[in-house]
Amino acid sequence: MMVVMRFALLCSIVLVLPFASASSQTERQRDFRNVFEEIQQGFETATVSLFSSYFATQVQVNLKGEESGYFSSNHAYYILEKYLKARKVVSFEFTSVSEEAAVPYATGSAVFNHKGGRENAQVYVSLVQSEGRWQIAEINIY
Amino acid sequence: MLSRLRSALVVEWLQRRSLRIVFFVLVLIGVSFLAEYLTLRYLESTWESVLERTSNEQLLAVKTASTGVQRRVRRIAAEVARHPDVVQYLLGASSDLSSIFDQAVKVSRNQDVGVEVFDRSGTMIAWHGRSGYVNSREVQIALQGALTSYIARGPIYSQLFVISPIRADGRIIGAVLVRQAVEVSYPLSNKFISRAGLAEQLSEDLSVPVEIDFGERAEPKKDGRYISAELNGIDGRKLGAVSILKMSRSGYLELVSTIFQKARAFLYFLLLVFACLVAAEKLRKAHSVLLESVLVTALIWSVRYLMLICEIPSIFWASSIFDPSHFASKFGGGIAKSIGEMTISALALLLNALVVASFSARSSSERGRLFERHPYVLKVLYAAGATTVIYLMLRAYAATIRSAVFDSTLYFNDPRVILPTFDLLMMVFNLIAIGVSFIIVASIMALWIVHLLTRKSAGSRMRWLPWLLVGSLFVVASVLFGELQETPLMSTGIRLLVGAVLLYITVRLNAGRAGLLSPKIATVIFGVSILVLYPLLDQFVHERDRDRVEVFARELLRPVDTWLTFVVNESLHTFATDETFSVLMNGDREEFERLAFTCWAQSSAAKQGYSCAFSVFAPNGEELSRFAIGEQTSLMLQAADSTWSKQSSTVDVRELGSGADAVKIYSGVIPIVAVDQVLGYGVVVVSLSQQSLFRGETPTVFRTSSQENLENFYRPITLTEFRGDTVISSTNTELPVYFVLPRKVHERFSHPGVMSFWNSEHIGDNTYEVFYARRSLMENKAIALGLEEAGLRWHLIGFVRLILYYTLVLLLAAVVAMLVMWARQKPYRLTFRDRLLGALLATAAVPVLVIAFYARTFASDRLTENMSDRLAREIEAIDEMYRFEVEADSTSREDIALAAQRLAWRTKTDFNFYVGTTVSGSSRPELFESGILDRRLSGSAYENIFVRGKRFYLEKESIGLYQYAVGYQPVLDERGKIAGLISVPTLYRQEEIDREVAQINAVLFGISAIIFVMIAVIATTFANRIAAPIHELTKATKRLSLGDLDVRVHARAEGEIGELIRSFATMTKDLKRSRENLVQYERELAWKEMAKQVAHEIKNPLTPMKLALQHLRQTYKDKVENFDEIFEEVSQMVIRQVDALSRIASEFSSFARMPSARLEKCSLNDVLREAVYLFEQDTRVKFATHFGQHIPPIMADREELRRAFINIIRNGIQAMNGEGRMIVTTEQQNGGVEIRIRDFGVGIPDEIKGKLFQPNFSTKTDGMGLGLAIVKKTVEDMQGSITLESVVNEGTTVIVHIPLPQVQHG
Repeated sequence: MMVVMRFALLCSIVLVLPFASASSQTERQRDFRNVFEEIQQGFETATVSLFSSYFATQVQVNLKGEESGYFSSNHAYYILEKYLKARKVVSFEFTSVSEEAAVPYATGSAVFNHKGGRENAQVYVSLVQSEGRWQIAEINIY
Repeated sequence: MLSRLRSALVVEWLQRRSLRIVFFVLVLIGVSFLAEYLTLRYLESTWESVLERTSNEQLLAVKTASTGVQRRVRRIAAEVARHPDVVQYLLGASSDLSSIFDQAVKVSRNQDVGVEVFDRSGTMIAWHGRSGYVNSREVQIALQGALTSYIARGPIYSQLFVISPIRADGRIIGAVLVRQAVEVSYPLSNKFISRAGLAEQLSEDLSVPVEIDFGERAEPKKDGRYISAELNGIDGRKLGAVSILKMSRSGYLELVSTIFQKARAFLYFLLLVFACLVAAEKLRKAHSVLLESVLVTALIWSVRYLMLICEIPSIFWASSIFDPSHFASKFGGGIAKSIGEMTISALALLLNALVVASFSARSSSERGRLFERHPYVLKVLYAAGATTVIYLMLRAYAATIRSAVFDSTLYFNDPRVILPTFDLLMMVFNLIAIGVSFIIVASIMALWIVHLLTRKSAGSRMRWLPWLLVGSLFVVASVLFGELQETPLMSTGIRLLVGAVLLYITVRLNAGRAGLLSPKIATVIFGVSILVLYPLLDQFVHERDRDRVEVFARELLRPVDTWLTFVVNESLHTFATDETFSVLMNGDREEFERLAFTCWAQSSAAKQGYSCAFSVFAPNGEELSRFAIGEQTSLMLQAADSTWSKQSSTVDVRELGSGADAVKIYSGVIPIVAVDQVLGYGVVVVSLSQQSLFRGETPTVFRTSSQENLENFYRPITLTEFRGDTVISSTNTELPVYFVLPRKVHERFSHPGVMSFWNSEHIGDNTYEVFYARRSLMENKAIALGLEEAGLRWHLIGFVRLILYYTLVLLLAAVVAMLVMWARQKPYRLTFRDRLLGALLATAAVPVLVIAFYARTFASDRLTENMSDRLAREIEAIDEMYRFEVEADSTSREDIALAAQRLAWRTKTDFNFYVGTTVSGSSRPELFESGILDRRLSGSAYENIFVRGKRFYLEKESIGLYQYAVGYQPVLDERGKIAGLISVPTLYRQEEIDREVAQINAVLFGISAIIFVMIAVIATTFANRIAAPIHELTKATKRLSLGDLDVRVHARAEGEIGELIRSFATMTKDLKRSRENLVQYERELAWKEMAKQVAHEIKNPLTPMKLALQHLRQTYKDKVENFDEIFEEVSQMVIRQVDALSRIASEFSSFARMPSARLEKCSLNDVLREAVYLFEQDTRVKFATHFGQHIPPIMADREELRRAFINIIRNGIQAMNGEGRMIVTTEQQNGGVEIRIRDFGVGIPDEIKGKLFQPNFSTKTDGMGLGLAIVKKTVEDMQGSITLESVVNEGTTVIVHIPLPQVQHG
């Protein structure tokens, strides 16, 4: 009886484990999707504070016609705030999110009203895992 | 005094009308809201007409700007056409072609235009500037005598051409063409293509998008969103079309709204200022100095936050320092969200610290009373707490510096820069201001700690105890803060240094020799703040560099397949644009050739800086356009061919080559389809080469500004790739060929879980900090990013900058101090020492500066000479190799290009080869294909080589803002004639040159700075030593003039000054003796006079007494009937006379009495009040009193003082015949208290004024005339003075000045 129980326990562990790791992997995927969702929401509403908590200590920011470079999280906040203040966001959408790589990224497009004219841009955002959480490593708006 | 009175009156005026002013400003604010509302409503209702009017104005502005450009170019063309050298040559009177070239070069460089001169036959004979399309038909028109102009579109710019005929002797002898860029059509934007086109400039000026389409075929837009019109030249010819996007209603209304917002911000600011004035005035009435400090602090920071909320001053002043691009921190809710905001906060902090310092000086008694009764042990604990606070403040300061480095993109400690940019200067000023504030507050706290720990009863032996305790506290705190913090922001050494400096300042303050705000202490504080700032800045910059290196390593190691596939796919989309369709459908050959470059410039591959190739193929497979950049471009172009032929819909990944030369490439193809028709195919090939840093090998000239910002390091980084222990590739030229992975590194990597770490290594003559990293434990590949350690050059530059900042700050502080003194009408007078020091510094420093300047010029010339020699040698070597290796073996243009690239790569030298005036071969063909470099030989190079026949010519050329040197050398054929030209540009070696220039700067300026510092120290020492005795002598003379005959000059000096000092001592002795003799004589005289007067006064009552008694005796003898009456009368008279005698005796006694005053602490204001009170009972005299606040008490005989004031007041009342008005005021000034008692009586004639204080002088009928003499004596006994001002029939003011004891007056 004991042997059967032990065997059953072993089987259950063996059967559950993949689901557990898959679940943790799915959890991990969901995590970075959440981050991208918040980023999208932040840009749509021109509210940088919605996603600024995800900034890595050094964030690469490339903004069409504006600043580009590596900025600290504090600095990046104000750079993006200034960028969005000078524009009215017409639309901002991530059209694809990569799921495979250890460095997830999302690409999409954005439309702004700027100085009376319409500005179209491509967007690329990548994340990096650090200290157990996802952080924004790169924001490009070309 | 006057200015204070004025400001006090202003404040008083404001206070009285405060409500009205507030109400008025609020009304204005309300009015502004109303005006805004009405204006916006009006604009909305008349929008159509407003729009039409605005659009027409904008159109007119564009046309005016265009006309302005044309007029300018025409004027330049006319000037060249009239130039005598040009005319003479074309007439045949001169054969000096060089002079025409010189003229063309000069005009071209000065006016930033291109110039070409044609002879009568239309042949170009001289030129300078970029080449471009020259319409020969237009040249012919000009040669017929008409001025002509047109616009032509080039690879980089659209240019306005003006061709002017050259006339002489009534005929046309030639033509001159001048061209100016009016529009940038280049898709890249970086420092090389820096000119903003006319449309962009106008867009900026008018705040609306302006598009100008130059060309005869350009038509105005029919889109209703634009106002569009043709653009014509001055001669009426069509130049193109301009389209201006009509302003949107909401955009315009927002613009108008902004104007009102700015006006309101100004009104809020006025309210703020007013509130500050009133609050400050009210604060002066606070009784507690500590409370005052707290309230002022609260006021300062309230104002600061209000300014932040109202966006003052950034709403008025759109300067770059209010832009968060360079710096932004979230600290304090936004008070440091830009450099400008941080400056305001730093100034507020400094003001706060200065106010606290000045209050602290006044609150010594209050401070002393705090914790007076607490046990000593508790006091030690309080002191420990205060020390902790000091070190917490120090940590906060270090955190501020760290934020200034990490939250900014500023280059601190850049060795290439001596003079800082404005933004950097402001940031350094901020850090210095914050540092100074910290030191001031910390010094005050340290002084308080010392006072707290000082036992009043301690004997002289125990006086060192508080200092020992304080020192120990600082040392312990320094060490503990390092041990207990997880991330100490600074080293223990710096903490100890700060502690030592604070102790030093405290010692000086405690000794009372100088105040915290005195120049000496202030200079020390400034110096210390910079001494502490520099190493901290260096440390944090170093940390930031290391962080950046780690980030780069992470970038290099991330999985690239997915990423580069994405890049290729995104880049392919750049082929599917309207511009591409238009070119493929209607374009000409030139536009076809540029198509690949244009698509590349707009692609993600270009933005990321990868080596890549772009090609455009026709549907039949013919290659229409190609552009490749980076390493191994030929390989990539070949790959592009094969990619097209495969026609795969997915991105192809493969490896080309083998071994160390293996390159992984990612390629894709996309059909270019428009209107269901395949117009062609676009191909993109991107290569990944670990050889490159920052993911690409795009030369600087092709990098966009954004890419340049990614690579902001001023210490070079090297990248080395290892496979196992072997080096696969390295950018470090000093790395030995057989270098292997160091054993220590190998061991570290063998530990499980270790993915990256830092290591220090010596390679060659340099030391590197190397960051090793690997992607995964499975791979045996690793990368090493090396940062060269800062060497002597670095620190020399840092030292120079330190001196520079210190000097700038001191100069600024000196200027501010002088302005403040000038405003207070007390301009600073240069002392002898200042003049001597200035003279010594000027004498010594000027030659040093001159030598430094000439040394630098000499060094710069030598550098140019060396560069020329090097270039000449390189060109010779290239020439030979080119002939034998390139021309001999190559048959096609592609072969030549490939061979030239290989030669350039091998020799590490890029070159261009010219035949005639056009480039025929280059190791960097992409520079010519993209239009960055002009295919045509520069005019000055042609002149020097072909016309003057020089064997070598060095020219400084420029692309946009970027300047570089090019060496030219003729290539001779077998007959010795010039067959061509080889040029070697330094375009790719500018970093090397910059480094050499930085080294020269470092050495020259560093040494000059060291010498200057030594000169300053020596000059200051000498000036102090020479001026000290004179200063002593001056002080002694002043004291002598004030009556101190016991003054002595202790300074030692030789020569004339020593003689002067000895003469002064002798003179003082003689003066003292004479004065004593005079005093003695005067005293005797006074006593004689007094005795005479007393005798006279005594005789006066004695005579009637004697007569009366005689009369009484007689009447008694005569037994007169009314003897009783007579007796009564006589006795009354005798009594009266005896009273008079008694009064005389009392006065005499008071005057003669040697003072044995009863000294006590008394308040002058209180004594005056008492004196005034006595007379206030008489309602016929009205008293107005204005007593100064916070006048410290003095030690004096209260009774004597009161009697003196009573005497003065009584005299005043008597002068007004018992009725009128009197004003009594007290004010602290000039180290004492000034008391003014003013009456509005008859006044005192001038001839009497001098005698009033003499004993026995009186203008009254009774009394001894000793009153004022007694007052004077009383005042003088207190080392005071008494004077009076009087105007007859207007009144008299008695002014008494009583000095305050030293410690009490601030």
